[in-house]
Amino acid sequence: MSAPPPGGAPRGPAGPSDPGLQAERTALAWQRTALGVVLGCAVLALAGLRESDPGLAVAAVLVGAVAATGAMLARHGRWPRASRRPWGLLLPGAGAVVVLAALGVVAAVLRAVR
Amino acid sequence: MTEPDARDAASDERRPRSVYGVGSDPDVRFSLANERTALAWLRTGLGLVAGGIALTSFASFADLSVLLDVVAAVACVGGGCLAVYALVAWRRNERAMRLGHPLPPPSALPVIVVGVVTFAAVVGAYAIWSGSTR
Repeated sequence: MSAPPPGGAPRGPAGPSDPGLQAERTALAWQRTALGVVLGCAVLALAGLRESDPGLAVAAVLVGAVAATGAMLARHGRWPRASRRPWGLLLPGAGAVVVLAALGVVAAVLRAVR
Repeated sequence: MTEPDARDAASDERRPRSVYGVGSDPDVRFSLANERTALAWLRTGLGLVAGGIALTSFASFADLSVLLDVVAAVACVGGGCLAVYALVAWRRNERAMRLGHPLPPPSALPVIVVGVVTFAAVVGAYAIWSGSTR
């Protein structure tokens, strides 16, 4: 890819000629993150089962299933789409981590005071 | 600014407006790199949260010390803070790139390094202490 044109002409995705494979790397980063969410949800679901809290387990499995589906559907460089709108996914992703963190804190505090 | 830029700014509806409403699009590779950086921070936070939850579960299996619950809670709080930081840093970096400003420093990096070192020291001290009282 040559030097980018000055200004902000609408740009498509970094095409197959992109030597840095930027779009692929970004898609893989999304996949890793989605898999991380799946793992976190698996841990939470196990904790829910362990504490005989089926609601927590079911919620964790549902969120994990959504993230796993997203990771499987993410074709390299195709998704998230060429019109970059990362905020729409970053925001719920970060929100999910914060909710997970709050649940973890509650679980830890409940166990500590018991 | 070039002609297509002005047209873009008017028809651009990307969110958040506080980012896409200022400056002009940087090289798409830089935006993608910024996105990956945010995702890496998000994964770091996620790892901390998952570790904290796993630690709590593990502690309840083996009926371990309350100290582990404190560590787990701190890890979860830290992970949540890192997730928020991922959003804040993405927004800040993207704004700086669009405006042609120098990038702000990765301010969470020293904090997380101090946190990991402190964690290592606490766990090491606990291991020595619990070994000596056995």
